[in-house]
Amino acid sequence: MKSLHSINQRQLLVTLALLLVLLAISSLLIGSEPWPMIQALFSHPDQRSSILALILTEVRLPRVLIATLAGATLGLCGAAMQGLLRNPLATPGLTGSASGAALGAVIALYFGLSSRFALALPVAGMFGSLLAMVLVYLLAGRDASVTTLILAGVAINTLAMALISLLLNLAPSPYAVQELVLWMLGSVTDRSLNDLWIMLPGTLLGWLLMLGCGHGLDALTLGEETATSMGIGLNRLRWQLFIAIALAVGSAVSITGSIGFIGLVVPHLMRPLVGYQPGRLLTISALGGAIMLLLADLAVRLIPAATEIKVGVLTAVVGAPFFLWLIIRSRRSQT
Amino acid sequence: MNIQAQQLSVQLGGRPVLKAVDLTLHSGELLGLIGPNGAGKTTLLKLLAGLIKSQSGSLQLDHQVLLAIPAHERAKRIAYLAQHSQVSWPLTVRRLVELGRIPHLDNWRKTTGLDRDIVQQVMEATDILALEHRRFDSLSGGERARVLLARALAGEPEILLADEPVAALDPSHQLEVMSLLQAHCRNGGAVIVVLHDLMLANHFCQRLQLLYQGSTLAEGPPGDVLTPDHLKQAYGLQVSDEARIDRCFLLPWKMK
Repeated sequence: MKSLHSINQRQLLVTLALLLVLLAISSLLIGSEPWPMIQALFSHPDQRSSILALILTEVRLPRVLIATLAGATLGLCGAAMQGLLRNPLATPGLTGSASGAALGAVIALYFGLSSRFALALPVAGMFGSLLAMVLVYLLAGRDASVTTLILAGVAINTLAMALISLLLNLAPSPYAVQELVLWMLGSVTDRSLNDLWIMLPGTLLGWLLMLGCGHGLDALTLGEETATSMGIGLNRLRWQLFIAIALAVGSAVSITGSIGFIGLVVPHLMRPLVGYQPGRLLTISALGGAIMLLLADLAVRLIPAATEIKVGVLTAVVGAPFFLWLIIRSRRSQT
Repeated sequence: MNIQAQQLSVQLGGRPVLKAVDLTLHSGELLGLIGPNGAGKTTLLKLLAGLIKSQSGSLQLDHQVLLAIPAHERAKRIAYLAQHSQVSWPLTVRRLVELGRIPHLDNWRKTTGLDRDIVQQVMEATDILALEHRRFDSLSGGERARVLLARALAGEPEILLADEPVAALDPSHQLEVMSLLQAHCRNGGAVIVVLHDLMLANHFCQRLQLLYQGSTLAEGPPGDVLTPDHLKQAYGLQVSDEARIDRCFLLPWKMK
């Protein structure tokens, strides 16, 4: 029986990985405008390869890779945060790290730091993210109840949003406002390979730090005292995760804008599949997050609309009701 | 293996909780910590588990200062079974017991066949194999207690610190858990167990340490500790003569 369990885990991993690869490939081939691809196929052979190559490498490839990275980051961070706070409602969006990252990135964009120094955007995102998370954590305290956590998160999110609004308000031109707002809606379109390189180091480092916390998160299942008695340094675990989440979320948000609810929904859906174990949830949730964001990005390309719907808007529209359902359910289980 | 604690004092929130308490523990010993609520039993146990620091006094494991031993090394030797264990996620029983192997795992190493063998043995010994695929939140109180004990034992600790492991258990489960602790000592381990049930303490423990208002009131074999004087002083109890035979309390039942 015990080998059955581990095989199931491996099967799950392989299935999700295959699904991800399949989605990534179809995402390379499917677009809102099917014409360029077909045109390219029917055009002169000399031109064909160059147009095809151009679309694939300059347009589709960055989009697919950035969606994969950002989605995986959101799924992974959600799982890590929920494991750390032992609360299924904790997510990068709720615990302030996403809005903090957005604020940091907006500041970098607003003051033109990003045009002078390419890495300014993710770095500002990371600092904003870390600051917001630490503030929420200090406000709510450890072992916070769902209510306290939500209140603290709401407070910090509101503050971050207010500061973003202030910057928008003070923006010199309507054009700058529009640019910032569109960026904030969250999207993976019109990104270049350059954006990918900017995003990559923080993302990978963050992932690595998070994946190294598996045993710590598992031990925390038994409570803080027991985890400590099992040799887990809680302070170290907390800071490692905060920094990891700041690195990954900061990098992702600064390139894609804010894409909400993936960090909430994905770990929640994946948790029963891994037997509720927070350590095992990490990798699975990362794969799930990448799949979810690729799916959402495919959906916005295929949904007929005058203007393409931003992927962050879609995840929010779908994710918010899910969040409500979670709250209702957790209320029911409490009574 | 031995634990030597001398003159341990702890203040929590400005209030003295432990006042110059001594404690010794050797391999094979089952030491019972007894005393009224608020006497400092849990605090003493947490000190020994390295969860809190004492303001003064010395605490050594094999002549090494306990807190100077790296936490992950300590965790391999000392297991702590908390009083009100909360389990945040509804893991299955086997997964939960496997968590007990964490002190022996590196950050990136997963459980191996050896770990799983040990988990299997512990689950057999604690008689929870039949529950292995059940979710923890679906278990009864007695089952939970055994599963959590199995988690602590899965780390193969030399020393087990158990805080009221039999609270809220029915008599037969109490005897079962106490027998498991006894077996751990017979296998060369040592156990310190916080108990409220004086009959169990008398029956199973080789030595008792009676704490009262943060100090040791009496220490020694059960017969010397559970005297009417001590009980009157610590608990304010008057012991009836009929309850005592040979200066000891009777355990009115045993397992089949």
